[in-house]
Amino acid sequence: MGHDRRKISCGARGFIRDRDFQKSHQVIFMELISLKEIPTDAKVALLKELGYGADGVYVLDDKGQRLRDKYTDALVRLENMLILPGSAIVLDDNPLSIANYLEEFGELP
Amino acid sequence: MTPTPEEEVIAGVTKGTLDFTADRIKAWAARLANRDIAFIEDRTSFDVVADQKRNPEWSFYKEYVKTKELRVLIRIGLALRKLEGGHANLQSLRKNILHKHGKKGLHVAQLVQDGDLGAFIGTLLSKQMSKADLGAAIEELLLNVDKYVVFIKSDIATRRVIESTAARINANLPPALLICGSKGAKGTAEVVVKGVMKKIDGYELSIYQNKVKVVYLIMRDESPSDD
Repeated sequence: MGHDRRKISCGARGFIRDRDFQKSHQVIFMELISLKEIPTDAKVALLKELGYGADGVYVLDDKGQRLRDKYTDALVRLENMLILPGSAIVLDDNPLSIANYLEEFGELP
Repeated sequence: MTPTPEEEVIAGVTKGTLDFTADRIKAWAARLANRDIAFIEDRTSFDVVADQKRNPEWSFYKEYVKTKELRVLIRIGLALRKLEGGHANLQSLRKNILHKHGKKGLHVAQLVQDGDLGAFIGTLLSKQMSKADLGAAIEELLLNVDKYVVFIKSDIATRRVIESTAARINANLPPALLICGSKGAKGTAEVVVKGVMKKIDGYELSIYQNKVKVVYLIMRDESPSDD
């Protein structure tokens, strides 16, 4: 009989140490990193790696235009952004954008 | 002097945060594609929305409401409720909803925030409706929030609101209409409801109230007639 590996999602804090549990479940971890702890030059380097840019204040899209949040149309500032999985989406950090993102891409583990 | 454990921890965190090599940046980008990392500004404000997935009320709405825009607004309504109490982001969130979803969107979020939608559903559940009918009734109400929900303020002209609400019911025969009043507007809402009920036929009235609010649910009487 095939091994039944049930998917379990959990945040980085809820680390499951039990080896038997890990063997019998496909444990999915999602690490949430606070951008407040990342210096601006590292944020810009990450954005460039993802195909975006920055002009010192705002995030730029792949054409060098100031990026607008796809859900609220707000300009996305370096100091108030979210970078979320799903083709590396860069959004303005506000509840409406987060709710729209979760509706479109599903809950984060 | 030997550093204290707390100082060692702080030093470790500082070293960790300064370690932003090109390889690490590339690894982060790869992990984003793998959906096992996300970058957020502030955990608390992120969790106000994301943690609704653990809220049983959200689980209920998700089950019954299928329109994506409504689901977003419901989730935001629950977040607004959590942010209540003078949170700085409350006003800017309301502005965002208004900008993106208009007055109608704001009313849907407000209906959820104030618990009026919950009161409406509680009444529907007592009528033992099927799951499909219940979902349809909830969506119908939310999609037509401007037609089917009347928010009463204490300073309104009651006679005019009674006339317009009764006329709306008699013209459209909606399955349900909510009249909501909070705090100082509770008495005004009662006057309006009494006036409206005198002008319509074939509707029954249910009331949900607590210390701060009252919700009158005027529902079409679906029981078979004798003739």
